[in-house]
Amino acid sequence: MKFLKKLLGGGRASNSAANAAPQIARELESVVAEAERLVASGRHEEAMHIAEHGLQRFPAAARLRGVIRYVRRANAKQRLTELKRALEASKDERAYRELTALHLDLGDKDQALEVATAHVEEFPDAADAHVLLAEVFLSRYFTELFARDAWAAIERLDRALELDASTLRAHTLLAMLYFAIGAPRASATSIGNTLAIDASNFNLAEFKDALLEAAGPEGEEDVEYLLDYAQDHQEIPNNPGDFPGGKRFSLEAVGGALSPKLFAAAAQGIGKRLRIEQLAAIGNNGRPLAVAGENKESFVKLACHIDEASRRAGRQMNFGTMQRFMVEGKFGRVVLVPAGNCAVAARAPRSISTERIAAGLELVVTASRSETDEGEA
Amino acid sequence: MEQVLERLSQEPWVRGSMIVSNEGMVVMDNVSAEIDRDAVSALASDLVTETTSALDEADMTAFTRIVLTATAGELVVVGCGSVYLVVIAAAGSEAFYIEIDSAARNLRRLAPTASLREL
Repeated sequence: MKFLKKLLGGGRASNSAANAAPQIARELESVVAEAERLVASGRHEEAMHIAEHGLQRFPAAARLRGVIRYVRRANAKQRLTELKRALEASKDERAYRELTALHLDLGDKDQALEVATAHVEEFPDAADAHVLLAEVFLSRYFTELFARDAWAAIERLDRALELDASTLRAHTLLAMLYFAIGAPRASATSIGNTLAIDASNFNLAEFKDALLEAAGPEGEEDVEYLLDYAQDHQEIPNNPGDFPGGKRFSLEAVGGALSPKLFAAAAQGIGKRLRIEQLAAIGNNGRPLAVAGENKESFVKLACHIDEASRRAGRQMNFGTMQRFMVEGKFGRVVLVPAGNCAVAARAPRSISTERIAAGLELVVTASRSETDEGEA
Repeated sequence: MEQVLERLSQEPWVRGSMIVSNEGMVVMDNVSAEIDRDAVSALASDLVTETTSALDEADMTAFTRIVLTATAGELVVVGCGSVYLVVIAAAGSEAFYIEIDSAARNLRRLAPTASLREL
């Protein structure tokens, strides 16, 4: 599709856009262009350097984060090959651990599960192997919220504690899971077990006090009910990334740290002003993350379809980064914009301009993100 | 029809334009030789099919316009009766849309009555 790139990347368009753009946008564009150019020419380390420095100046620049993600992925893939070869030569516990972690970083949960399971089979008496397998199950749980993954994680963590009751990570992961599904007292108990082994973790001690304070009067916490509820409603009350040390789960949990509850609240406020009737957020994996407004199910389906169609068209056109996709008809105007690790779509009357809808969507996304996501950059 | 595309090509934002049938065939175009007409028409056709089916599933009426905006330009598809006007352009403006809408109106007058053979 070189012809299109040539056609659309022509001087007139670029110049007029640059002249109209404020100084800061030109500066950002130049940093992004340099980083992307280095990536394209295979100079990954230099691209990483430029992108990391750029992010200090422009912390919200999604394209710079994209460069960093790309380079990390490329490096990880190379390491992956080395580790697979090492494991073929000898069953080394460290190689299992690193390989599982790498698959998780690359977002390949099936591969991670396969390696972590093999690790447990090879070293059934190693508590750490069970903890790692539990982490894989949790990682999948916080993406899909299927109760069976949470139960599998609990089973592995219990086994790890049977083998070695002082496995700190097992207590902490249980505490994080209970916190995320809305069982603060169970979470506080597991934190208590952690603190009994390591009393110096003041962050956890403070967190435990806050949990108990928020938990209210004593009452039964039914974990089974909470897990089933989360599965049925595809929603958990707390982001595991908000748990001390739970950040690695935050990007996937409830849709890339985009809280459905905050999304709904922001949609109500901002949407009302812009007469937005329906709103939906779609993850990079094409799964719906949050939805607000009437006829949720049909709108989220529409948003998923146009997200997929626009991504494919954007790739085929090869004319830079997609900024927005708009479709209009008697139904009004549906606008979809990419927003970092997700895309958001809204439907509004045709009297509201595409630019205003897109600006409103950006506000909704900003208001729906937890602080942990910004910290990740 | 040729005049409609010719007039559109005078616009400084327009890089190429074509009329594509509902089946995705290029009926007429005004683009330079280096443009792969088949690829652009296939792309527009895909976009139209996907969007139409998504709107159908959501019980929404047919679309009148699709705009895909990227950092270096835009792809605009406007329904004109039995055909679609596809415009590949640099970043647009309201004036630009006025021109496209005007071209689409002219095409709409011609397209419903003209068979592909007549075009």
